[in-house]
Amino acid sequence: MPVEQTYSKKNPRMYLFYWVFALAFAALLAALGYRQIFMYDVYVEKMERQSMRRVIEPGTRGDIYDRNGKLIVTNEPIFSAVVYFNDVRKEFREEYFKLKKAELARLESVGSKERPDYSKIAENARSNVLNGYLAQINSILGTDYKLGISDYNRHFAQKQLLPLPLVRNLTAREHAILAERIPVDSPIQIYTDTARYYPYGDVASHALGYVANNFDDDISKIPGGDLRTYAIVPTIGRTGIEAAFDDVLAGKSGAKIWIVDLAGYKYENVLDIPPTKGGDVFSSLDIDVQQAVEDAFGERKGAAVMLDVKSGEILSLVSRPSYDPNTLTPYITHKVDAEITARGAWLNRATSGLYPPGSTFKIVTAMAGLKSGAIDVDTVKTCNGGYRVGSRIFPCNSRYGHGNLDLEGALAHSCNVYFYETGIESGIDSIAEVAEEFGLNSSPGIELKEDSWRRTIIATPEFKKKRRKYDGPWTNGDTANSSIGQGYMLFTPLQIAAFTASFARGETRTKVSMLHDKKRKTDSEYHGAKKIPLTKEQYNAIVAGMVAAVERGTAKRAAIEGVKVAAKSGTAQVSVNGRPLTLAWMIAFAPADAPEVAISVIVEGEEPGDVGGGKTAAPIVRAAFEKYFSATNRGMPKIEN
Amino acid sequence: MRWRKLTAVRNLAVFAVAVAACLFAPTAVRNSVNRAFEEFRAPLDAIPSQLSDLEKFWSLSAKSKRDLIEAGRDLARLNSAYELKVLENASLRSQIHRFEKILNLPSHEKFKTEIARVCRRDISAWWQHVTIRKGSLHGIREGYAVVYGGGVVGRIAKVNAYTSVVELVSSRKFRMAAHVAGEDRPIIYQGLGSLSLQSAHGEVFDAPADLSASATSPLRLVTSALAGTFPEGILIGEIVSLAPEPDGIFKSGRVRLPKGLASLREVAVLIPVADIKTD
Repeated sequence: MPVEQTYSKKNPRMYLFYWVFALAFAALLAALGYRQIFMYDVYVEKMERQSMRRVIEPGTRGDIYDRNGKLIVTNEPIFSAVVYFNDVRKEFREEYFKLKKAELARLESVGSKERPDYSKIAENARSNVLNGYLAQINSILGTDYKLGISDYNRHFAQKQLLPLPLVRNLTAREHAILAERIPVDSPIQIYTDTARYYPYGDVASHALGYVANNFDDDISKIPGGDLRTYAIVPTIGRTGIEAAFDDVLAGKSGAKIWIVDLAGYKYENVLDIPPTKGGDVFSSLDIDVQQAVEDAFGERKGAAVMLDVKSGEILSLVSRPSYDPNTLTPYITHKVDAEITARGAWLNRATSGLYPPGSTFKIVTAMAGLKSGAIDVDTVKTCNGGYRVGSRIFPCNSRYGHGNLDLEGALAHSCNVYFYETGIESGIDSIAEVAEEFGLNSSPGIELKEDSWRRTIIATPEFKKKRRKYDGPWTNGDTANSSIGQGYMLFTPLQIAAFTASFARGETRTKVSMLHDKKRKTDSEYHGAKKIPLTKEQYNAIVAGMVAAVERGTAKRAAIEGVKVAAKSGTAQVSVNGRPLTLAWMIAFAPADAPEVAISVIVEGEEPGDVGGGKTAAPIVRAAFEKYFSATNRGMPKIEN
Repeated sequence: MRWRKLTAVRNLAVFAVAVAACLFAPTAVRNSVNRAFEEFRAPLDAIPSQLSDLEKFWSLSAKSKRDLIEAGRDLARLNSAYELKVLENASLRSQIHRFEKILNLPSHEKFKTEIARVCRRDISAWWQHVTIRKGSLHGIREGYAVVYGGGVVGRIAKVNAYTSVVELVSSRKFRMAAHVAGEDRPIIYQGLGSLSLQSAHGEVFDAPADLSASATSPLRLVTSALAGTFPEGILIGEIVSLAPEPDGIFKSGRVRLPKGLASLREVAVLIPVADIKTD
């Protein structure tokens, strides 16, 4: 076959090649068409997404008010002088070229063929420009603020779209001066951030709580979850009302989505959702009463809880020592943390402190005695200053004895012997039953997270068998101790306050709350309560004993003019790290015949015997009642401060 | 003919060289040329104003004797009343000085005033700036406060030897610290400009959230001495609306500026006493 024919176009083998080539080319064209026509939107979106950045701005937290509408927690502005990188981009570029030129000239002059470090030049250019603006601020304010190249670089790398703070925490004067003297079109802007502000300082600090940075903020509902995000860190409530009602108080974060250019600078804003402020909370606290109780505590350690008897709303929740939440915002420094830890001020003693109730528990023992029939309202017992249980003599608080006493007298003078006998005659099970009926082993329902009710103890033989088996079996001595609120019994001041409010209302339970709600139901169904299992005569006898304690007994210092107060003092002994200490207790409600408020107060002693219920806790009760009744102007003359 | 062509080409060439010189000349040279031009032009600004004053004088002198006598009487009455006020002021001032001396207090007087006539106000920048007939030769410096009988006028933005340009309180480039009369919480004020020649507005931001204002019950916005440029308590305008900002801490709103700002004739530049002592 001639060569021409072999390679002619009509060669069938070449046809095959042509077909394969045509098919491959058609496939390529089809793929190109598919990508250009059908996949166009997908690729455009992908391209746009690669050049989009999301900036999250947190919403401001809501305010907290007391029950009378006084603002007790709010936000204060923090002004900073900032620069947005976008606004100085042109200057960066000019400075960069200037430095680059100088560096090239330098290298040439020394005959070096080394390549300049362009990223270093860019960093220096940024630093020079920003230092220029910082110098401008310093010259206007007469200050000497400094920032290093590393500060600029870190911000540029991590938060390029967020403002760079050149000077933080401007004072009102500095803010005013800069607002006036910095030109409106200058890249230096005043940026306003917020910090939590507690106008009353350390008053009610444990009740109000504090906030901290929330690095786990849920931003999943904000559009642009798959975009590179720059976020300003919001705050979250850590303790107290701040934490309990965080879902209400927390503001809603806003977002801005920017299209950026290749260098990461803002180009166009495509989405702007403004942040919104959180809701306000109207707390049940009465800040004036709270202040009065805290003032009455002075430097002493302890706790106090005052409740509205009908609604269970907490008027005052004191835990001393306290801390100033303003020192914890915007963040807690190591120094402040160490100082608060050293003073033992982190603990909310009102809700988490566990204390033996001392003689305040005699109300429970009295109810157990009456309910079980061990005593009646007229039962008289003789106190000789001690009571023998087995081989041990349990002492009374009166060394030489109280003589013959009925229930009213025993409560008025807090006679231990009367209640040792009553407790042993009723039996520990009766006492425990009454304590359980009053919810002393359960939560009073407070919204705060710091409620240690699970660690409270109603002492019973079963408890001792399970948890204190090395102390041996339950004895009458244990019952005698329990009858006067000693031994294993442990409750929180909040539980004791709820118990007092329940008793004052003639019911077994009080559901407490930190929220003020005028429409709140106050019936027994709301509280989950039953009627006290006593006859009216029996109930009145105990109340009479508590009134007598104020009029002529151990709680005289709790008396206030014009209001009949019912109270029971208590002085308990505890051992802390092998060191004996005294706790001073007092529970009270007033007016005794139509109770409005109930209170429990505990003061921790520093030395054995340095505090006593009647001596130390009673004046605090009086201060609280005086403030409450003078403010409400019910039945007592106005107190002059 | 040829000569004409050559001249046209030469003119064009000169123009091109001038434009090129403007474009490529160093910034310092351009600034100095600009300043020289301003100084050269200053009399042109001042002369119409002086002529206007002269014209007013002549128009008044053309009035009848009777009118002049009546006006003279009125003026005499006013003068005597003002003289009395001046005496009272002098007496009060001397008392203040005496107390300051006794109590070892720093001087109460922080500003001296330099009265100046408004000599130029362009229609195109009616609410941006005015030119006044006093300059650096009268002790005026950039940034000094300018006021008039109705309140704040603005701040000195540019100073020439005989004239100065005042950035008006209504200009978008004007910002200052202020507060509501009767309290001391700082608020930031900024001008908003206006298309109307009759009235202008400003805006306030960073106003405390508990403030509220409306057109029927406006709040008086006055200067704050915090930044040191203005003395305390000079009227800026009235806040006629306030709405919460998204942060919930502050409010922002509108400020109605006094109508007198539209017809400024004479202003007072506040020269800090400290600067006079330094000079």
